[in-house]
Amino acid sequence: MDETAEYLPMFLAEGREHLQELNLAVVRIEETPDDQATVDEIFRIAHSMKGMSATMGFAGMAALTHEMEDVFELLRQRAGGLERSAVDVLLECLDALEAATDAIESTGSESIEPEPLIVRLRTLVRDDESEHAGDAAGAEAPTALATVIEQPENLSELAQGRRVVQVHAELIEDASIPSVRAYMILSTLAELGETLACRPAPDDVETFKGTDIVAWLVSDRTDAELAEAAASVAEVADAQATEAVPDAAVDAPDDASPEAPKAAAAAEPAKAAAAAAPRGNHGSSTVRVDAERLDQLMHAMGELVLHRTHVEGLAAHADVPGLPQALQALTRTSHALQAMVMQVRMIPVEAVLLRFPRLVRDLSVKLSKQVELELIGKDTELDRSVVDSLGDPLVHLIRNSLDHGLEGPEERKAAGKPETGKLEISARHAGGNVVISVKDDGRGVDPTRVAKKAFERGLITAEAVDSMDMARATELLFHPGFSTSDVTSDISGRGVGMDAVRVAIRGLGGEVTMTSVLGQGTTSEIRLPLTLAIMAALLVQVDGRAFAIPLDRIERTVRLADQTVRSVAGKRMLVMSDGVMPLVDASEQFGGSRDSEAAFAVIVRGNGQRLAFAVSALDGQRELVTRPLPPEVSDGSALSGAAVLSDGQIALIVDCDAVAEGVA
Amino acid sequence: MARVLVVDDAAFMRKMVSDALVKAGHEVIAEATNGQEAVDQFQALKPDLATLDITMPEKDGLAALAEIMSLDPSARVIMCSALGQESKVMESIKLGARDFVVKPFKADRVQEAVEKALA
Repeated sequence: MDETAEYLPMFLAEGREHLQELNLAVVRIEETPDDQATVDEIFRIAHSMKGMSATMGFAGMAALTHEMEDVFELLRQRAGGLERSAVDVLLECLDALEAATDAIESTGSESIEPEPLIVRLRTLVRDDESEHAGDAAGAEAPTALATVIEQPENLSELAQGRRVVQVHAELIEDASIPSVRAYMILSTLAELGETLACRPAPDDVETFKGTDIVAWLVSDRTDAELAEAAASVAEVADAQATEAVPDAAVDAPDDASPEAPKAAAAAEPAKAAAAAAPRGNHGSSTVRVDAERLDQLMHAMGELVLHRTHVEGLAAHADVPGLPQALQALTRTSHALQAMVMQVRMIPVEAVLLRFPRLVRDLSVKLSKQVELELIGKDTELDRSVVDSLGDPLVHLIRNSLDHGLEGPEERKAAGKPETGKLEISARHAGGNVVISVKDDGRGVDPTRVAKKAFERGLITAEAVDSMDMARATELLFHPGFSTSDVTSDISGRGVGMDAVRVAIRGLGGEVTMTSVLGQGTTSEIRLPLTLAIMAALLVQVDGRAFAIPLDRIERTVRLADQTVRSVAGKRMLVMSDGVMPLVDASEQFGGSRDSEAAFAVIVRGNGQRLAFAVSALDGQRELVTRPLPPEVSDGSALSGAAVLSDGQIALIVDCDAVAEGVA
Repeated sequence: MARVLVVDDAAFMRKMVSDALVKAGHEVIAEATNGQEAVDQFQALKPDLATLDITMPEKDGLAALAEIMSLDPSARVIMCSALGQESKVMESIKLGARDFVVKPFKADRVQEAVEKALA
């Protein structure tokens, strides 16, 4: 039995988090090489990645992260940051680690070949050392540095003439919890003498991650006894005790028995304990939960809503005293529960946004463009299933912006713009939706050029070319197969672009639109529902069949008998006081014949326009647990899913965007 | 040879630890599946050593450790922790645990911890 198997999901999840943090940190360090906090962060994460992969028995990942540490260590020792070539190698290492993580998840084995990267990493370190031969002392190999232990400057002062022993314990590589080991060693030694100073310092013991622990003590034990005591702690590879300050007993006055240092030393372990205590209680406030369990919870919640509606339906016909009140209470609690379940499933959109600094960095290098990326609203929360599926569409939009939107430095300069382009990705809540926009200050969409291309590709007529405006041009960009790029690029490709984005976003129950100002930039906006699985909808009857229209798309409902319907160019239009819109017969739309009984029109927004949907009856508002439709049913139809109603009937959910597209 | 009490809520982990101990020539005199059982068994059997899981239902390892240490300040207890429980392990050492091992265990680490705790 593989004893590490149960830790695999945790390893994968944590490993991915670490890799993302590393990606961000490496990109950040390229921009601001002197950011010591980031350097420390990189070192720390690489180190824990190393420990994790070694524990899990993934030797390739462990070997690579171990080698990466050396480069980071070098970075730590000097200002000035890394050359671009070094950053490139590090990023390639991160890619390899990411690929290994993916491979572990899908096949169970890491399938990584670290050697070529290790060789390149070593070359980096060597090159750098020879370049900086002048300050050879600073550039000494890290291992050599570790064994040279610097004594505290005030050691002789603290010693007050007494003999001080330096005890140096070295932990085995990958010791389980170095901080606890350090604590054990230091407290063992503290029992045998008076600790004048130690490394890690008492305040740093809790966060200690290294392998070398040193204490300077005054003790009546022999050096060998002290070394042995330190070595008695598990996972100590080696312990040595050597004289640090010689005994000056002959000259030392007896009354120098130093009160102050003694008190200080006694206070030190206590201080370490005090510092530890409050921190210890915090660890348990968050729990890591398997995503699958959240899905199951959501599913069960959905069933509960379904049963509740069923009971409500039955209760409407029953005359039981107290039943309405009991039902109300049930409804309240179930709403509260539902809100909580939703809340639990929400994760910050950060999870996907943080991939982008690295992407933008790589693309801008490749395209020789200068781009400043700004991420806004990283804390905005979304259902995790939505966040998971949002990555690819956003990558498309970002690639489009960098490839087609933002200009190179010369072109920008010529246009009177700053040489560095701006790309802003922002997320925010708007009603029951989350809006994510990708905005660049590039050249914008040129309607004339779009019109020309669309005409060449036979998408529009010659007359349409002349009347082309920005709104139509941006809409054309979403047409399958449309691309304005004259050369096929390996960044955003050709023909797979905005239409793929639209399909993906609609698959999430959302909508994507684009606005642009020629010469000033383009903004793509994705609008998504907060959660997918439970939806508020208006239930309608169409020719005896039940359909559901998402409530957040509905403007209002009207009685058809009170309205004017005109035929314009063979199309039925509903004439309202505030505008004219296409009237779509629902029965006809979904494969039936024209519904002569249609008594109501539901006015909805779809694809950025208004349209009226003619139905036979309105059945009222419901909360529906939505299920995806199999492709053979949903393909080509304007349906986004289905829901089981309380009486067991199936309601099909209308995809307002697709209907609107059909009449456009 | 030492008489050992093995405490863990997971049968799989109890078996792993017990196997490693028996292989090293020790005797597993009892197993407990939660903190309260651990305290009761410790009091009744007075083992030479106990291995104590941290995360357990009813009474967790830290609470059990605190009670065991107050019953017998010289008790030899080794904590069994999972990844990411550094602060709890630190707390347990401060409470008087002799050593700790981190899951996934390696048999030789369990044996080393036992030898060092008994020394």
